[in-house]
Amino acid sequence: MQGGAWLPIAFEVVLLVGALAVLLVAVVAGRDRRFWGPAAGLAFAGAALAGVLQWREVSTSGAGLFFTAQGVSFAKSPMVVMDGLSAFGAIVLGLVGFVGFLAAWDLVAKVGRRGPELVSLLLLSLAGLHMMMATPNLVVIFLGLETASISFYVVAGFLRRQKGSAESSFKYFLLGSLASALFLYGVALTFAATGSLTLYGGNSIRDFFSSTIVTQPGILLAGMALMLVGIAFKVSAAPFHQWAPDVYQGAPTGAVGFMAATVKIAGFAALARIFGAGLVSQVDTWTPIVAVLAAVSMVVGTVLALVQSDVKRMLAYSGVAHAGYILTAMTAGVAGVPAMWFYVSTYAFMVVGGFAVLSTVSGSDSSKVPLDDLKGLVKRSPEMGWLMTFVVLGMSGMPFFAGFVAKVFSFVTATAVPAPWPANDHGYLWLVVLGVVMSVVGLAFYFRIIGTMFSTPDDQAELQEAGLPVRFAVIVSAVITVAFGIVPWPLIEAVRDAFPI
Amino acid sequence: MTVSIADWFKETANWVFILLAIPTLLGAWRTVTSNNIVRSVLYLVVSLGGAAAMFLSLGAAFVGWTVVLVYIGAVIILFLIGIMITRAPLGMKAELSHASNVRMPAALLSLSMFVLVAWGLIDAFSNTAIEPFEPTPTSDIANLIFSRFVVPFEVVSIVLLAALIGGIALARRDDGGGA
Amino acid sequence: MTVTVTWYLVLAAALFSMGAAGVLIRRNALIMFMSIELMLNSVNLTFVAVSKHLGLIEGQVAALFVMVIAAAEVTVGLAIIVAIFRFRSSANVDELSELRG
Repeated sequence: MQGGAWLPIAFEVVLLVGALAVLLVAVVAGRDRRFWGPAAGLAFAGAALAGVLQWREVSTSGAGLFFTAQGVSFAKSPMVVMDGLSAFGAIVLGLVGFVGFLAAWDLVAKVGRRGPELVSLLLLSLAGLHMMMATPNLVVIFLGLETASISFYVVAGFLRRQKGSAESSFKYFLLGSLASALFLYGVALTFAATGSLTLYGGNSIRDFFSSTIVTQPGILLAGMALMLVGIAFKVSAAPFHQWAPDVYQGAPTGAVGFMAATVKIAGFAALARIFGAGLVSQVDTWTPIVAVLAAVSMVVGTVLALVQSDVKRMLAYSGVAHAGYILTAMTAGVAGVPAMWFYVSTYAFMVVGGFAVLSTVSGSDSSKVPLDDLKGLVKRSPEMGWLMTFVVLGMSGMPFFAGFVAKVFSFVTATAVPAPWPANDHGYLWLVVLGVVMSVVGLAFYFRIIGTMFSTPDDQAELQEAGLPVRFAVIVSAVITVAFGIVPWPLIEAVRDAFPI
Repeated sequence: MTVSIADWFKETANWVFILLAIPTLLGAWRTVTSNNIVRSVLYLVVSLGGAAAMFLSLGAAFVGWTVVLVYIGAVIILFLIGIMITRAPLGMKAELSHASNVRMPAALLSLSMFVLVAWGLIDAFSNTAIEPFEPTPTSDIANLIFSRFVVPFEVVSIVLLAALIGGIALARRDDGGGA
Repeated sequence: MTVTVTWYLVLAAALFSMGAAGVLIRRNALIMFMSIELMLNSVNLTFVAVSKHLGLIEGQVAALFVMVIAAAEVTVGLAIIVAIFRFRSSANVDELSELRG
């Protein structure tokens, strides 16, 4: 085995070793979080480092396909792919995972002796999520998806004695399993239509489309539609978003940021891999469907966020709307991948930061966060109040915040390439107009949150001091939100190389 | 070309298929519609048994016997244990289903999905006869799993590890405080 | 006219639709869960039938992986259901109404 052959799966290996180390240390040294916590932190940081090494390898010697039979060339039937998409995804997932883990640090203390299990599930889920974007094989994408889903079902229900947590876990489990089954049937029908389970390499789906004219497209359409529905479920795009508000609200606040952010990163990366790269020849078929999903998500997410009274539900519906804006970028096909990456990587930090602040306000093991909990936050805790203000402004897409650059990038991308339906040279202009309108409407509830934070508090009680890791997580998220809003060029340069092969 | 019923039944593969399809479909139908949970589980056994026999008739012996061992052997037992622990109602209960205003759209949605997919399948695959009963050597499957599919094999081990940890974390009694 | 791969595939589509209808219509947690198992089983049937049709073994291997996943899902799912419903009298989804908005 040559040294380089480990690099493509280094991210997963580091996380798996980290998860096992956490469990072992907890058994040997004791269940106090001080003993095994560093191991988990090292694993998240090491995973991000593995992503950096992959990125360097890809930019010096190019992307590659890996792991097949002995004696059979890699190009023939690959199982792992290392390219711009997977390497950039590894860096983002590693960093977001690290920050999300810090944000969950207070929750770890509250779950008592079961802390190591919680953290090892987070580590394993991250490995599965990266597997989704680092493989050309549709079955392996499903396996990665299930690794993450099964871990997250448990994390959502970790506080068994709270009704909300248990209910959230159960709803997530039933609807998530349904989505997985739909995605898998889509894979099976695509297998039936193309005779291949792999996107690249010999006898692949791409080969099939380059050598065959599809005369009976019915079964292929059904397969693509079902896969799209499965992914839309996971990234909570409307009309497949119904689980998101209930799950976000019921799950322990300290861990929601991690779950919501990482699953979106991996879901959109998998969308780019399967549809952008693998089914690139069918681009005229699937972009109109993606455009409709994007439109419905923006409208449903924004309008329903307006009428919520719970901040977690509000952020959940805002997540639905953000899924719509990211899908807007993907209507450009594979050309939309840079805009997708810019949006999803900055938005992920905002989500982690936002939920981290909520966990310091209402308790990391809370399942409900009524808007009143934020009342007068800026006076009660200026640090948390101002950082939360930055994060919310970032989500709302105000100029000089990362959300603004992300939205502009996404809208420009959607109009850059000609659209197949309705056929024109300006791309999905109607979608962009709708997106701008919905961004303006959305300001209403973002400013409702900010207004509540700046109002006079009912009681002058000082906010309970949050742990140092949680504060660090919030500061990092807010800094990223502001920094990439003012100086977005380094990230824009980077995402231009983050393409799937 | 007209084919008489008698000719049709001369083909062993045909009546084997029909013989297996009827219990598989009926079992699935009753699993979904039965008002008695224990009966639902037992009908699921019938449906899965039919499917396992179908895998055998397609030559996928290893998959077929795995269904028997894993599903009928283990998963069904887990379901029965689940019924016992949750003290689910054992008799006839009409309230196990949603009201009819939810039922109709859901049924129509499923039916239309079936019609569309079935139409696509018939459109694409009609008249491609297959040779049933010819078994795939299990060693071929083993070779494939441990050569090309070794990475997914390892990923599956991660899934099982996650399920193991998750199951313990949810079910374990908590002595030392915590939620 | 002898048995073709279409028959198996259409049968699998019928099973899948029944399972989907079951998840949408029933409100007992365990029956919904069994319907999901039916759906996964019909996916396996599709994989194996296509694999037979094309003369590839990949479909059978995929079906085996799906079975492992289904078993893992059952384990976690029942752990969740047991954790929730241990202290309630029935396993009906309607009784879960903590989260509304």
